[in-house]
Amino acid sequence: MSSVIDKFKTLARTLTSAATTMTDAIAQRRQQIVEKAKEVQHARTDLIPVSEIIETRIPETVHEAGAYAIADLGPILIQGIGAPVLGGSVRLPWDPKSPLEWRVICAAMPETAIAILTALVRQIQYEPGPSSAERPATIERLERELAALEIEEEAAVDQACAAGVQIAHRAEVIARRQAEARQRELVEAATADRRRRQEAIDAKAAARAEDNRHTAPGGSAYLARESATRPH
Amino acid sequence: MVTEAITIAPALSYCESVAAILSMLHGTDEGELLLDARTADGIGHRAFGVQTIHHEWLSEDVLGLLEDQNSWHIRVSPAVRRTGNRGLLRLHVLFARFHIEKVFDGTEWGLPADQMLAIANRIALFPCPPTAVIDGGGEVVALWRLDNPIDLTHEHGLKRARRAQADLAAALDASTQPMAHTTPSATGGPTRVENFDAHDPAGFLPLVGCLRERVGNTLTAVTIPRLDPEHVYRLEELTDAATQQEHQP
Repeated sequence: MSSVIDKFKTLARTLTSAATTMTDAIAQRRQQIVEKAKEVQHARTDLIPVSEIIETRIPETVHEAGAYAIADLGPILIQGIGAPVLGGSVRLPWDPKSPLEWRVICAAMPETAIAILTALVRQIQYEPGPSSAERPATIERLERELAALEIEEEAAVDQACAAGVQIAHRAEVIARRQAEARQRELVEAATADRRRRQEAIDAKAAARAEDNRHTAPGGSAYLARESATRPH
Repeated sequence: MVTEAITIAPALSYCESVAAILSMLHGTDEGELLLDARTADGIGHRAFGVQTIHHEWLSEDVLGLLEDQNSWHIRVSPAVRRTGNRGLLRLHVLFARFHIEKVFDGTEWGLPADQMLAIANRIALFPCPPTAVIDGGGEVVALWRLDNPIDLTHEHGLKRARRAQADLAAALDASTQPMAHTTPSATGGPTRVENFDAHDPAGFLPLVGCLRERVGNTLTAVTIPRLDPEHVYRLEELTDAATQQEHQP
């Protein structure tokens, strides 16, 4: 008797250990999912590397500002400074006492403007993400890895539940499965409704064909003529 | 004499037959089939494009049309058109239309048996059995499904389709005369009349199951006495068969 009890106790310990192993594995998988999701988020939203900023963004913004200055201030400047008859002193598009605008520096001394911005950016510490060229592929890879982890975790929980372990799916899995079930119900309801409506139309058509004085077996005057001449 | 075994349409319901014909005409690519139907009071017209085609069941728009208890004729364009009825796209079938002259026997108008028999014989003797036959009461339409649709977006394709249709009509002695497609106004305005040849892909065909026109004093149901989806042909097969048939004594 005591050996039977001992055997049950051993079995209970084994089952508990197995359940714990399963729940531990699921917990580990869930932690990996959280970390991988963070990696995806970083890949999507982190700033581009300093090198890309210096090589492309800074020159682009300086040239853009310079072009804006020329377009906006150029006509006024040349009219004021190049008039054949000056009505007083040269008229500039800015007050002589006002500070020089950034866009004017970009237009007149673009290399200096680039050097200023570059020096500032180099002094700022931040955690960069992937470059623009690498970003789409990186995001795609990470999302694929995340999806694989999620599929494994979901299967593991299904397996654990089937084995009697008390564990719930993640909230997003529950929500997705409920939405899928609802969608299936809607499709089934729509199919049943369509079938009912088609059957009603079919019944009316059958009644109409029955009333047709020219109806022959098969419901067609054409067939009636064909069948009338078939060799029997 | 008809010696070929008559193929009764498989046990398809009325709605399944309509779906099968629409699916055959549309294929699975983009574009729409144009349906033209009288309103329930028989006065106005409704024309709309059907884009969602399934070979086993009817889409909501067609279901609604049939549910409106439309006992007037509903016609369908044999050619697929651009969405919004903006030009022809492609043709998945060749068809031959046989108009039947009603005769008056002193008391009522009816369809003469010898005309129907002659049509059945001509179709049966053609080397390529049709994919479908639609009996519209006042006309019989035989359809042959093509393995590759004819592109109607270019003049070359449209000419090719019209030439093939003309060859088929000549071989089968089918109808070629102009047909008027009338669209009466529901508001008292002028009736719009478009003319197209009986075998023109830009025209309209009777749609299965819809009451086509009065023959005598009875409304005749359009039926589909033959439907053999496995009969699919290359265009050249049909045009060669038409040429051979035409030259036979």
